[in-house]
Amino acid sequence: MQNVSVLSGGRVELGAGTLYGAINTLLKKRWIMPWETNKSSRKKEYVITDLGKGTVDREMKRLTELLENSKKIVGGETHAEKSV
Amino acid sequence: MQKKVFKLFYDFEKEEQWLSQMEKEGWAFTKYVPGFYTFESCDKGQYRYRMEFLKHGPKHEETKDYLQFLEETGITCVSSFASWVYLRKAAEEGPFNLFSDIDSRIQHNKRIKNLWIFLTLIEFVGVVNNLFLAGVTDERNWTNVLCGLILLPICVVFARMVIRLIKKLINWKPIV
Repeated sequence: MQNVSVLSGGRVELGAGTLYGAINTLLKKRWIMPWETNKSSRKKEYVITDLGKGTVDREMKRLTELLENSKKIVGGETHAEKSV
Repeated sequence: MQKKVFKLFYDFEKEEQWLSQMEKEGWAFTKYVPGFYTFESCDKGQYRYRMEFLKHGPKHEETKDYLQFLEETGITCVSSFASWVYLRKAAEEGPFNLFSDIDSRIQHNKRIKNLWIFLTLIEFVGVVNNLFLAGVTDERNWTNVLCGLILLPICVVFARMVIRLIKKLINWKPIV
């Protein structure tokens, strides 16, 4: 949660309720799974699965495409022709 | 020093604000039994308060798991009533919001809306029963009329709460 705050320059303060729901969704989709090495610690830790890694890859590709297309349109490198 | 305050709320956000205000005045909230809030004197402004209406009851496995998770992030459950929990976090740890995205906020408010719909229906049955049906089966008496007239405004207040929550949810609906 602190990491999210630092990464976003204080813009996103992740709520604990929201995070709990997100973790459960990720578990349900099998994108992450519980990681049990620290049995002395009560703190739960999770590790990303192969399925999760694939999803992250695809999502990053999608976001990159989105960003590139946005730059093309807003940056005016190519003028999008209006066709009716 | 300890003190008890009698107060009734129907808007949980106002309740949160009031608890935080009491804390600023040096009274830390410790316990809730319907209508009665127990406070203990404390150093001013140590904690911030939030309330949540959970998916399950206090004894459910997921509730225990969730509260333990909150504990790990520095949030303590001070008191609970049915599925409502009173949570607090040290003020020095920064702002205290349970939900940081619109989806989880919608989910929480939907649960509260359903609770108020349920309560409104119970009151409505009470009103209809006392004002209209009581006279059908046996002789209508003034106690029924009185009960009905007392329940009627409560039913209206509850129904207005439902409308308010529905309006709030409509405003939050994603654009796409």
